[in-house]
Amino acid sequence: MGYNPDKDFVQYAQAWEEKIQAFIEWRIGEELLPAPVTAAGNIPEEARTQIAGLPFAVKDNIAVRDLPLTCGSKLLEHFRSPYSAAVVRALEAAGGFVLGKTNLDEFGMGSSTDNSALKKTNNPWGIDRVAGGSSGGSAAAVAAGIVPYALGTDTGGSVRQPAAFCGVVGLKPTYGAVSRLGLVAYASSLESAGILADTTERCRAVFACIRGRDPQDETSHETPEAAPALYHAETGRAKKIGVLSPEAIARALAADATGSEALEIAVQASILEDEVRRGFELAQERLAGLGHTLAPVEIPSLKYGVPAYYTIATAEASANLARFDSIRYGARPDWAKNPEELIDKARDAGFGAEVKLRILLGTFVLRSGFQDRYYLRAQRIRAALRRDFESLLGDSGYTDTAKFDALLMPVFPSRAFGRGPSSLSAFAQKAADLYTCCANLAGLPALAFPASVEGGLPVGVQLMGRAWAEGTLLDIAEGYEQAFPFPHPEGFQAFWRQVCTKPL
Amino acid sequence: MYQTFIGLEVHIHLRTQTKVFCGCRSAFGDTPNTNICPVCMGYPGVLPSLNIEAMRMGMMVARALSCHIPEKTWFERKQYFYPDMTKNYQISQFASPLGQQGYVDIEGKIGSAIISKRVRIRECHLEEDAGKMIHAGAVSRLDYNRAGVSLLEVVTEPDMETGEEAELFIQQFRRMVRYLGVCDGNMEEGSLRADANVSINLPGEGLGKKVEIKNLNSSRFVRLGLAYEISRQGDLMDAGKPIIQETRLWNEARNETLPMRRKENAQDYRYFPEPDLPIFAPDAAFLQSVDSAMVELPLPRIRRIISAYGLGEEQAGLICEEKSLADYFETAVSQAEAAGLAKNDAGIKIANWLLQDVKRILGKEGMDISDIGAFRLHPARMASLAVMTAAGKISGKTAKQVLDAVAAEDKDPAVIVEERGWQLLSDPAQIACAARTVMQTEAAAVTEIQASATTDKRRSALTAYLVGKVLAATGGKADPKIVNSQLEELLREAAK
Amino acid sequence: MEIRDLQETAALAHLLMSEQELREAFPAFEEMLSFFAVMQAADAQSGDADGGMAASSRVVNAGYFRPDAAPPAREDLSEDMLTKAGERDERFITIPNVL
Repeated sequence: MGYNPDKDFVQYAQAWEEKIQAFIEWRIGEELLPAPVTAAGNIPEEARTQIAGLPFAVKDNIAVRDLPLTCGSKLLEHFRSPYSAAVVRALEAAGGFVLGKTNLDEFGMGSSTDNSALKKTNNPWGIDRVAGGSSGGSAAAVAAGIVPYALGTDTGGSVRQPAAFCGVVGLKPTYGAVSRLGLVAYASSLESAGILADTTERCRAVFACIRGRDPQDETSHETPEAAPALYHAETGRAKKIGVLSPEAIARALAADATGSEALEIAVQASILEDEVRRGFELAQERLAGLGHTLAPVEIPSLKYGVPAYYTIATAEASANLARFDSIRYGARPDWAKNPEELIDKARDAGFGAEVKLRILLGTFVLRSGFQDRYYLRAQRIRAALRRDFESLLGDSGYTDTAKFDALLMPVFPSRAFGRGPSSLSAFAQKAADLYTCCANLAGLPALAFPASVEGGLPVGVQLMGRAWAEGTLLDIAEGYEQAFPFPHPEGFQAFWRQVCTKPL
Repeated sequence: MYQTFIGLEVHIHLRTQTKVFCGCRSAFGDTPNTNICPVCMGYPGVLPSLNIEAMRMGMMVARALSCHIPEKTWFERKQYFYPDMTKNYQISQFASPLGQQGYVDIEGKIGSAIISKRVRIRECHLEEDAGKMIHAGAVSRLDYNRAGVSLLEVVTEPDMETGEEAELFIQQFRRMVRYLGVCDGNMEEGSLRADANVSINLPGEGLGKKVEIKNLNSSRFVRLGLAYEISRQGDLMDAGKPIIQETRLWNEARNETLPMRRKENAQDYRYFPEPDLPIFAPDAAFLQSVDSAMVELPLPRIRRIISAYGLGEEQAGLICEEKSLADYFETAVSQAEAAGLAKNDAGIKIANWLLQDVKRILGKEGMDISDIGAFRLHPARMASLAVMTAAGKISGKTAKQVLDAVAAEDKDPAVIVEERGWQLLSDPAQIACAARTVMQTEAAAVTEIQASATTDKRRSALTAYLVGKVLAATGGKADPKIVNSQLEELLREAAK
Repeated sequence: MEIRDLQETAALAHLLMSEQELREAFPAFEEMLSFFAVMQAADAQSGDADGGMAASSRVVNAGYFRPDAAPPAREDLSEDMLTKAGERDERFITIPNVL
């Protein structure tokens, strides 16, 4: 049974896309024959029904064969990938269809999607607002109901923050749970393919389909036996949830900030918007009401998270983006007198300002004479942060007992921000990553879901879990969703929950 | 007058089927840009996957060089831009290479220089090769077949002192990696490349200003390039001028080193651990697999062959030049031994034939001595030839002819001898009969032999003449030893 | 931190930047580095206790890696990739001459 787009749906999707501009390229209106369903029987039946026969969107830094792989950059504007990412192939093998490639901040670098060199994406909740980043296109497409789910990449929050801005579910899996083959690398040790989805049930299903060791990605591996099952009977069991205090964090940051203008900005950027604080408090009340036990926790190293994150991320990025020299693929300058000039001109014309800044930073922190001060120090902080989390959530080898099933924290200090001079500066946006970047530094799974709507815009909250315990996080979110259904923007229609697909 | 410090960086292509980080075919000489894939082409979104065989081969070399294999070994990104580098970083090793702090003993001769030296090995590490760039007028052409091929780099300490030592090191290193089967050592095709570095200084002052020499495409050029460079640096020092620390290129047309134009010295490689590959901790089973793949190395084998078979040093060295030749030799000798021939006897015969006749025969066929394993002259045939010769069934001279015939007709030696009727005549009675006949026709010679006035020298010459006549009379089939002894006896009798 | 540091860094990264561009990028660059400086307070231990090993990488044994055999039924993408190159000459990818 193929993807046979209903005329109503096509009109619906086109109307939304007119407003939000989520896609770089899509195949709306094309009748797509199903790929032969070849997935082995290791995907549970309840997962397969959530995927088979349904379209999905793919962030344009994840390879889909013969579709663009622009990464939101002029350098790859006309590039089409000769192969597909492992995660895409897994979903296609289970009967899913790639509807199109979504917009993103250039090479995944940004928190708004406005860093894309190709177009701007608007938030379905308010088109004067950003969709978040860097997976803004994917989040917007799901929030608008164009697709039931979409793939994104999360390096420092790039799936969870746009999920929160657009009011959808956003999962960053455990590092290594999902193959990175086909993800255009920004920061190799930090990033993972992630899922933006309309419901927690859908999110769980897509994760079940895409996870697993890929021999072509030697950083990926199977879920250990001892980890909690993804599908099981006891989803409603009450959990112990540790709660981070944003006020305590702001105070800790302020203590170090004396004298530095940059740090002052960082402190300010970490303070929660009133609406976000209300949403965060409401989520706590509701979770307690559902029977979970909440207790305050502290993460001493968390205040160093953002500088450590950006040091490591930019260092890896400077190497990962070195391949873009226009020699083997990509936009070549019209003329160059020698290869040096060819490479210089291609990169100068091809990369946007934010990308250049991050490459410069990353090159700098690895330079001989500076590595100790920046890169090596950041790695040590990373190790300390991981230890802090493991002391609360339990170790990744499942040799000890955890104090908490999950940690609750905000996703981003503000809701979707607007554009213009008063909106968040580039630096402030980075500093505001403090709640999301630590899951990437520690390699742990984290799930963002809509807690409430405040002032007309969704507020998301985030659960962080023990390595390989995505199931636990989804259980908590699913319970919340059942009691407090996720909100939708005006004009949303749930096409994909009406499509009833039988197993192929 | 000056102390010389020479170190070498040798790169070898490991003979893996596929490249080190992707499944592309690893081969020399194929049509350009056919053995490529998105991974080795540095496409967006690709990831490396380590070829475990490359690691095993690398550790075999580490073992052979008596290096310490660390508990954990990992890869690093070495960053620099160049058109033949598909990612503009090379996946290499830095902080914990697969082999560390070893040594190798080199022994042998280059020209009249007799060398016996221990050269320390600083480290060996695994990395990927770059593509090839060929200059053609206004453009440079890029072929990425070689990009990602498994490369092992071996770095020595600056323990060598002359170009001859460096040349010997390369020859013996090449021999060793061919023995291990990990590299074909072909310098013309680039599967073994060497860069040299050299500094000089007043004795006792330690290392001087290091100059690196590249583009040394043969072991001979290594020697010549170093000799030139040592002389150039010596001249500068004599004149009180400074030696610039730089990289120079060997120019074989002009027989000199020249400074490189590209500023290689300003490189900051910004190494950091490769996040796309996990850390490898070789377990006991893996190290066992490395050890079981090891072979007896050339030097120990030479020494053993000298003592076991009584061969001379030079002969033993030649027999051990290629593992396939040494294997052949020992197999043939053991088979001859099994047929009752004494080990040393078989050894000497077979060694002589191999180094002269077989070498010549292979040469005519356009084959290399290392191809002997595949040749029609299998060890069993060689063994049977040795046994026949020792038993006196054929003469030494005939044996050489048999070799040629076996090679040409692919038949067993016994069959050849039978077909050609080359068996030696060894019946003393028959030989005596022929000898008597000759003594009659050559009566004049006989008389002269028996004359007391004849000198010993003249007598030997005449006797040899008669032996020759008897051999001719028997169509060359008589065993010359028996002819000799029969003639002597008959002459003695006739003298009475 | 001086503009010259930024210039050298840009050269290493093959980012062609004019004087103007460097001056414009400098404040943001400096801002990030001063932000990074806060990490000094976190420095619990000095020196590389782990010998330069990546804290985030797993340790695995041989069975984890790829055996040395050409994967079966591998698709040949070489022609497609040659087409994607900016300039080619039959089977070669070309660039302006290095020399």
